[in-house]
Amino acid sequence: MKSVACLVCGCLLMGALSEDEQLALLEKADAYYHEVMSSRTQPERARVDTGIQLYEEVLREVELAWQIRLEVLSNLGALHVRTPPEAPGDYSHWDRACACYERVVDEAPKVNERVLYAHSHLGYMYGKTGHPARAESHYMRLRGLGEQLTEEEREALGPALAQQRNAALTGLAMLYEEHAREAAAGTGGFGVHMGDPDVAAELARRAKPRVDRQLNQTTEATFLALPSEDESVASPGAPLPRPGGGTSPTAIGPDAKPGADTRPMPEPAKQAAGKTVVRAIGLLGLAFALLASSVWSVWRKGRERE
Amino acid sequence: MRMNDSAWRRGLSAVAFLAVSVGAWPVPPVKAPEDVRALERSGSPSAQTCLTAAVGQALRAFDAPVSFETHPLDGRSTEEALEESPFSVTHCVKKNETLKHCLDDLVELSRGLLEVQTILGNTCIVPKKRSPDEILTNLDVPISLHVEKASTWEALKALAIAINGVKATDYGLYITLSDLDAAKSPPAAFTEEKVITLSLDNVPARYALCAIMNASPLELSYTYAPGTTLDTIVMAVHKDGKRVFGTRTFTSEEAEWWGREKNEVGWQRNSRGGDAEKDE
Repeated sequence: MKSVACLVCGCLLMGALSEDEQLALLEKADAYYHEVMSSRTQPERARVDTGIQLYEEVLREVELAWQIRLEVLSNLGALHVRTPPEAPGDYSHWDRACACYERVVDEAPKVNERVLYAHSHLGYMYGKTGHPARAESHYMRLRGLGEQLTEEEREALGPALAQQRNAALTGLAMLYEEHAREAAAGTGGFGVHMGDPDVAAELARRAKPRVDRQLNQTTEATFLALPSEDESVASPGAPLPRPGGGTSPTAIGPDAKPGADTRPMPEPAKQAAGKTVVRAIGLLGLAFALLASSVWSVWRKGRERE
Repeated sequence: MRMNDSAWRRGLSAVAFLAVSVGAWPVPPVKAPEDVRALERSGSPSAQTCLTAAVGQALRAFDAPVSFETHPLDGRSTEEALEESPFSVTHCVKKNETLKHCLDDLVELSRGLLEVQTILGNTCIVPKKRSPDEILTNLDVPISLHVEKASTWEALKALAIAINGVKATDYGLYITLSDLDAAKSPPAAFTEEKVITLSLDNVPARYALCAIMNASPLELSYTYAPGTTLDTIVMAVHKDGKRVFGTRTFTSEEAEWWGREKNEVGWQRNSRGGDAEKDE
């Protein structure tokens, strides 16, 4: 006979749980999970801990359908993720979450949505906690599922399979970007899939806007630095070189007169507004000083009379 | 088994011509009710519903072929009686609940109207009889059935004809496949795979029906509501326990064939089926 103490109300249940007790325990654990996950602010640590303990008890004491077991393990992982960290920069709760998702992957007799999401979460969390090789492995396993599954299994998974495989591709590309040096060095076997055609294409796709931007910037800079064709070759209407160097003020248009644009440039509006404010403050200060001195003289005269 | 051969040939060729989308698959061993669990919660713990609806809703929560017959009283009681237990009940299925637990609950709620029987490995919820010889519905009547290399539909049609020959009630019996009347196509194996050979003498019709289900290449269950306007057995096809539905609609040729088949069953030769008699 084993004794099981209910973690919530503290009652001691003697012997193995009956089916009704098992169902009640699972419902209670699910209720804590939904409460924690629906909280918009950081959940109370005690509530998260209770949810975790209840799910751990469910895994020990309740006979579960494999699909529900995977769901419980996934929920447990999610609760660990939502646990408030011990200190800033502490990721030990993520390690515990990863352990749960690893169990989802290991214990699944068949691939279902929970397995897809577990690979995805593991890829992301391992990538962020300094285990890029593990992250890469999970993303690649997710990518490989497309070929391994039968047509029927693919149908059962529905659009989730395609979505998660695409997400894995994006995840891999981000991983290689974040850990570019290790990937290039092949540290710890990481970066071995950079040559995968899909991954390479995704990396190129992601890099394109950046490269384009850099190219544009470079072209612009070069364009500004180099004299224009008009400047480099004397052409009719081009400003003539001045004896002292430089060019004469530009005259543009049929009615333009030489020197027309030599007037001072208008001040920027913000600068002008700033000056106005300073002037107003000065005038106010002066008025206040005058007022204060007159009040002071009236008061002094009054005292002298007394 | 009497049937119009030319009609059969036309019908089968029509079905074969427009090959149906769901094929045959190996029937997996039936799981014991203790091993089948509900993956989702179903029903509300506070809403009252009639017993028949409660059973139907509960069974939908499980991926298992469970057959279900309502009690004749369920369809014939007065309205006042239907508002009270056991005809009006509150029941829900909890996530991870075993099928056995759920069936036990339903039997308890029925207060002696229903019981669970395992007939040739098929789990069936049936009306509880007061004595073994009592004939409550058409599925209690003793019949003989001899079919050789018949398709599932041919065997079921033979069963319906046999029951209608010695029917227990004023109503004829009509066997159909779930969704057929909504013009959805049956799996090809339902009409094309001729693998059923049975020789049964003087057995309850329910036993013969379960024997056909066992011999069929398809995973089947049935629902039977005796005492309603049409005494209909609705067959459902399952795959890995999960109920499957046809995905393609009948063509007019197929619908015509199916209509002829239904008439041959003889379900219209009852007090309400005057049209068939006029045709004859």
